[in-house]
Amino acid sequence: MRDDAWWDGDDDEHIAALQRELAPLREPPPPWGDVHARARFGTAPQSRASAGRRILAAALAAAAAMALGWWFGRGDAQPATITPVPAPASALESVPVADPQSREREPVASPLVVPIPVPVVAADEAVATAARRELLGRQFARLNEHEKARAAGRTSPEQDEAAENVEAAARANDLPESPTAQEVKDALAPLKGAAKACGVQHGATSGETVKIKLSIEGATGRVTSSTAQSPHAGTELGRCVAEVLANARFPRFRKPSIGVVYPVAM
Amino acid sequence: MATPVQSGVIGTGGGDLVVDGLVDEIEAVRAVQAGDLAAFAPLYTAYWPTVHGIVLAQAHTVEVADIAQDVFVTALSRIAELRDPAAFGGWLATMARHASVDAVRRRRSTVVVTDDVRIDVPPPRLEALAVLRVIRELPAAYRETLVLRLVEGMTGPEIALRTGMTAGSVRVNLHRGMKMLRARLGADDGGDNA
Repeated sequence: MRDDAWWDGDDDEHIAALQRELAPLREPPPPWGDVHARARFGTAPQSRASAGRRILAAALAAAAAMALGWWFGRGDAQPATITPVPAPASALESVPVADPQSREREPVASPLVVPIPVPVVAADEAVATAARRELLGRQFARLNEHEKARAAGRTSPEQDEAAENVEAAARANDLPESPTAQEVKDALAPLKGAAKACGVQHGATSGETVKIKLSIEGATGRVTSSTAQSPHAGTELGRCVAEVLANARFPRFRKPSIGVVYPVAM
Repeated sequence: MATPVQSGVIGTGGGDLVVDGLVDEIEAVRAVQAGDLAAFAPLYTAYWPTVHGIVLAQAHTVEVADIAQDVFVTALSRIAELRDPAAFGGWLATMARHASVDAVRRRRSTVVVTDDVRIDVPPPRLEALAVLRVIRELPAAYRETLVLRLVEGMTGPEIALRTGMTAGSVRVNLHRGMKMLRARLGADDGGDNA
């Protein structure tokens, strides 16, 4: 008895016809060397299990911060870990808040992939939204108090600077959820020339397309990961184009991060 | 503790089927766990169609190869966690399913920019994609088995061996899935075979 007949209900012709029709969807495995190299250099994608642990840790941290804030009752212990608000309201009383735009880029772990920082995950969207609104309200109230104090000549230059930083941080909450496709195109357009030069440098054929996957951090608008996609993953050409596009700067947005796949025709 | 070599024999309901090469695969897994990364190469070649098929059953077609490759990279970096080398196929298949689900979820927040590229899809591939779309509309239990059978060209026993599913499950999935697919494709053609 033929094995396949037992499994498929003896429908040879139909199976064979469908297999012929679906054959174009088969893909040969990419070179083993790519997988080997990526495994050796530790660029394995993050697993669901570790993502689950990160979400749980973020949720616990958020709950702890909220409990502390409630306990002390003064609002100084902000639940900053559950919202993308870049600066706590207490910054007015302590150190100036650093502008996210002026932060130095994180060092690149490997020439191909920049590790994506763990996004801060809201334990509960409703709680996060409520906390964000409350924090915003407090920030603007303190800003108003500061304005009155400044008008009365009772503030120092450091306090003025801190107030401006907090105001900028508060304005960040008016950011869009994520950039539009046009904004993404506009941000990448200035780098196209340099990216195409990679094709000349590495002997790409005319019309060859290199797809680059970018991860963009919402708080800063910076690229946190730039990776060439198959069939250019692990190639010099892919690495070159990925490095060029890693320099793109995008408008800031509220989501922790988004992914963008950008094809560059050589 | 590792399963003894007898796992090289699987039941098919129609008599036991000796699976060539499974013992070698177990040895390869053990070698990789002992630090010989190069021993993973034959496993990569042997399991590529399985992982590719599982991912193809769910994820967007342009991302399938990348996701499948990611699965192998993850598997290679976490193979020390696999206690039973004979369970490698099921372990890898589970990883591929999770990666596909993650990719589908991630894609919702991905902006795909396509301004300067025109991709011409050849007609045979368009037809294949149309059939794949119908398969993807079937219940989850059937579509993965059908993709492995019809796209990757694997036999029923091979699907059971590589995915860790029981022979009975694969048989039922193939039988019922083919029946539903035939009905739907027939309906699409004007109901001749429905």
